[in-house]
Amino acid sequence: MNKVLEEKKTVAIFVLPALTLYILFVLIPIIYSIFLSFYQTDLMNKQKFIGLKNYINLMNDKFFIKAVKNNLLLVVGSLIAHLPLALFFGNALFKKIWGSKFFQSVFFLPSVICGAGVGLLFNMVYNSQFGLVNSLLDFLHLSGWKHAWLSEEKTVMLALIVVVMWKFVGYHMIIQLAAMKAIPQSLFESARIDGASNSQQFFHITLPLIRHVIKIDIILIITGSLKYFDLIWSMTKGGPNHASEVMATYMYYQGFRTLKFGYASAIGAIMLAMSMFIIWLVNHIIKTEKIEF
Amino acid sequence: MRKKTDLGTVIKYISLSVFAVCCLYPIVWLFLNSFKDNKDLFANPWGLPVTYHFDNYIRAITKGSIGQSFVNSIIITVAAVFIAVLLGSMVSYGIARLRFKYSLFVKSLFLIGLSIPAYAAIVPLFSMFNGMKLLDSYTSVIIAQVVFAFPITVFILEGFFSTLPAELEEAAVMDGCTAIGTYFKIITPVAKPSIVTVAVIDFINIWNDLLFPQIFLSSEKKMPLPVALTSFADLDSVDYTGMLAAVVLTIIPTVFVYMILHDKIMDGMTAGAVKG
Amino acid sequence: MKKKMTVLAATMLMGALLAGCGNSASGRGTEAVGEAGTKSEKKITMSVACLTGGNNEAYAKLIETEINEFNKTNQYNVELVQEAYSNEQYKTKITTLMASNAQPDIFFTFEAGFLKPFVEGGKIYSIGDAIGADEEWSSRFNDKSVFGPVTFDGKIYAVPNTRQVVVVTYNKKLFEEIGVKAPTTYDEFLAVCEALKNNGKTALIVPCQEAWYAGQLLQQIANGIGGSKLYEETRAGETDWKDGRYVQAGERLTELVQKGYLPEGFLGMTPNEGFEKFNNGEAGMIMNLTSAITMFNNKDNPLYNDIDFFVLPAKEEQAIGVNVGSTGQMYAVSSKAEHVEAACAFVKQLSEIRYQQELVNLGQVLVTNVKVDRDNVDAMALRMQKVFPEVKIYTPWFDRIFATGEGTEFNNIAVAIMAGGSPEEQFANLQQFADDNAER
Repeated sequence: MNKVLEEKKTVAIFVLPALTLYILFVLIPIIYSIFLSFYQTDLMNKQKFIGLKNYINLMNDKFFIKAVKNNLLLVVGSLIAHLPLALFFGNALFKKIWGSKFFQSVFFLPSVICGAGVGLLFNMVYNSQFGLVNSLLDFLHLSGWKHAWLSEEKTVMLALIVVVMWKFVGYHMIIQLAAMKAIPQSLFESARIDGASNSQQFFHITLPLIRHVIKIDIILIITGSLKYFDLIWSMTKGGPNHASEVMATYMYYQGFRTLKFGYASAIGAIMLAMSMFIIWLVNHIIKTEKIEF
Repeated sequence: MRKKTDLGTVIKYISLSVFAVCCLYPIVWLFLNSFKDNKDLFANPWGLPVTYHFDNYIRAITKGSIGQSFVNSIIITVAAVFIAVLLGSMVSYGIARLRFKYSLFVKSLFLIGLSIPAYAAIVPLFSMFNGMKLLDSYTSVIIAQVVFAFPITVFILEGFFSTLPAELEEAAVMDGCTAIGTYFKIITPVAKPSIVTVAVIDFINIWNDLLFPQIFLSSEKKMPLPVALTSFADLDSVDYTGMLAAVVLTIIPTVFVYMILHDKIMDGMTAGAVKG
Repeated sequence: MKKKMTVLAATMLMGALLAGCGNSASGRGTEAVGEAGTKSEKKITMSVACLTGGNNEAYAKLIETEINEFNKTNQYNVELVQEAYSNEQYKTKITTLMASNAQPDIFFTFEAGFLKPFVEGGKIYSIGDAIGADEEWSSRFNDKSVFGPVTFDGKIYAVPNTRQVVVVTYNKKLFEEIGVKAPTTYDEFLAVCEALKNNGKTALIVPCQEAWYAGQLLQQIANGIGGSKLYEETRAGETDWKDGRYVQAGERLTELVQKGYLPEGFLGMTPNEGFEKFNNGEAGMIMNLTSAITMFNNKDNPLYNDIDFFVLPAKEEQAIGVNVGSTGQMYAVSSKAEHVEAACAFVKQLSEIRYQQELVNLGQVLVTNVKVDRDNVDAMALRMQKVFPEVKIYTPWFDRIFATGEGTEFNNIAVAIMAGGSPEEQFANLQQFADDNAER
């Protein structure tokens, strides 16, 4: 097109500040961490090169395997809540309807509460004695279904996933909504004149035109679920007996609680590899070309 | 157009309302229970407070030194969000629109960051800040927050910039604008909805983050809100209601910021419509 | 070009980072080089890291007072600054600081396995040298065994200030109402549980939301079966977790649950809920640490005059007097403290009357022979202190002894057994974990 956009100096001005900071403070620590994953080390006294041993041990670590499974459950749960559900709400609120702004703000609220607050709240909701869930089951004469939701190995992960699903619907809805709003209104107007129904408009105009954002959002949801930490740590710390362990909590536990930094770094490296594989996969499955309106 | 209330609209409103209750109820619960005392909280967790204890808030403010922490939070969050969004949007633009050999490589570098949990980097980062004599300064926390906000910022904005029509810049450059001028005068206004969205996301992440300030700061005077809250939030803490009050106090600013920025997103929408 | 520069800079920084992990200097107070005795004009600032939040808040306040006093009176031209963190954050913070060789100058520590890697990494000053050189300081500790859990290779690395044991707190009034008294044998203990249950009360509260409450019960039952011999053998690696005595302890634990002595929902009960229930008179007993007395001795507590304490009786006679417990409120000095002498002086100051008196007022049991005034001491605390003479041997918690994961798993399997798991299977799991863990 023209030279201005290709000039080295221009590129440098736009790219280098962020890139330099990013390499220094994110990539280098990460490379260091990958380097550590080949050692058995507490970062103080012990420092022994053990090659791939940490990775081999991880494959035989039933708590780690449990953590990976839990992460995959979290991915599935999040995809369900943060795509179809968030898209449905986004599409409903995208139209100028009564109360749109109110609903948008309200849906967004759960994602702004800090982890400690949500943790405290849901410890109450799931409480086996007076919790909301069990009270509700009593009310519905389903007392047989009552559980100590967060303290039974069988139910804890389900209980946590529901909270994660709930917390981030509004967050993803806002991302999707912002994309919808970038679609020119004229497209919808002409569709309406041609007699397209609301759902036709959604599937034939909205969805194709926000494809790139959907792809971005899918990647965000999956990578976010794979490294998810906050809420699980503040509610169960991965317990009871590692039943709600996810990779991130297990990594944190191994590093900061038992000083096995080499082992922890190997968990980090596996998380990284899994996420990158999924990003690659999503990029290949959903091809998006540049859309020009 | 069709103004009749059809079944679809009814279903839509019902589902919207149900979910709204799911979202609002917890906040209301937090708010109401922040006025109870510990006994009342356990005896009667789902009802209205028997008596209203405003001293929970007084405790939260004095014990957590909420005032000072609030100022610290503002300093750290505003600075970090501003830098992250400014530099992040520029590099996104660079990757999406400027032609250079390694743009795809640079993009994937930032993508890697999406999969990195921050605590994987915390020990080396601490050593680096220690070596640079930056520990116990806002700078260290701000740097860490900025660089860890880059991946999501770049990811969303790069996606947006790459959908922009090429004519936008062509016209500007033809008029003799420099790349910088084009970016700030032409591109940024068009990208406003996305930039604001990203700013809101970065704001929430940074405002609620506990890890970096906890590790990099040591003087109590510099700690932001989430750290101040932990004096209530600890597992063997006995002061649940004081903590609830403190949680309510931290939510207010985020909701407030969101409410303000929400209008900006609306403005952005009109800007988008003009373009179409 | 720019790219190359970045890569170059990055490589250099990487190198510096790797090299720097071993020996980079602390970020604080860099200007001060003053050795003891040299008249440096500049004030040296040193940090004192301690716990706060919840129960620990009261102790943090005491340390604050001590720091203020020290800053006013010390002759070293040193100023101390307090850094207080809640329990969870403290563990993360101290680990990061240690790994970066930037540990606080004076800091709160736990014993045994918590301290050991730091000692081995050369992070801690062996404060025993200073105590040994100071007749007066040394003479304050009659019973030198209190240093046991903080001694490594014959050197002392921290100074404890209190003793803690795991006790059974009971509701004396309730006991009298149903006609039982504090048990002296394990069988009597079971009989008391039965009587409480038959009177519609919860017998024993163990809030398992915190796994270590289950762990300390299991460990205490095992103490009562295997005595100190089992404990020593375990520490020395002469027996493993599949040992029949542990399995037997596990079966005793199962018995308590199966006979319905624990409250409904105990698996998910937080300690606070447990204390609340006990203070409401719903239960006869709760097992807790002596330092948790602050949860009971509120003067408004209607049970204030009815709460008393006993140690869980041993099953076997030769195991009497072996109780889970240890020392507490321990402080250590960094090997890199800028003014070691001043740091030691501060730790020494803690064993003086003011701080010790305050600890006693909080219901704590001292390890020094400092003469304190007991007139103002809380009546309940005095009742509690009567259990201490019964304890002959203190066995610190397994999660402190085996700090690299095994101890935590011990607590976890205790919960798993209470949730219905087979003791034999669970202990086999634990041994499997211990074997695997050694390699990680």
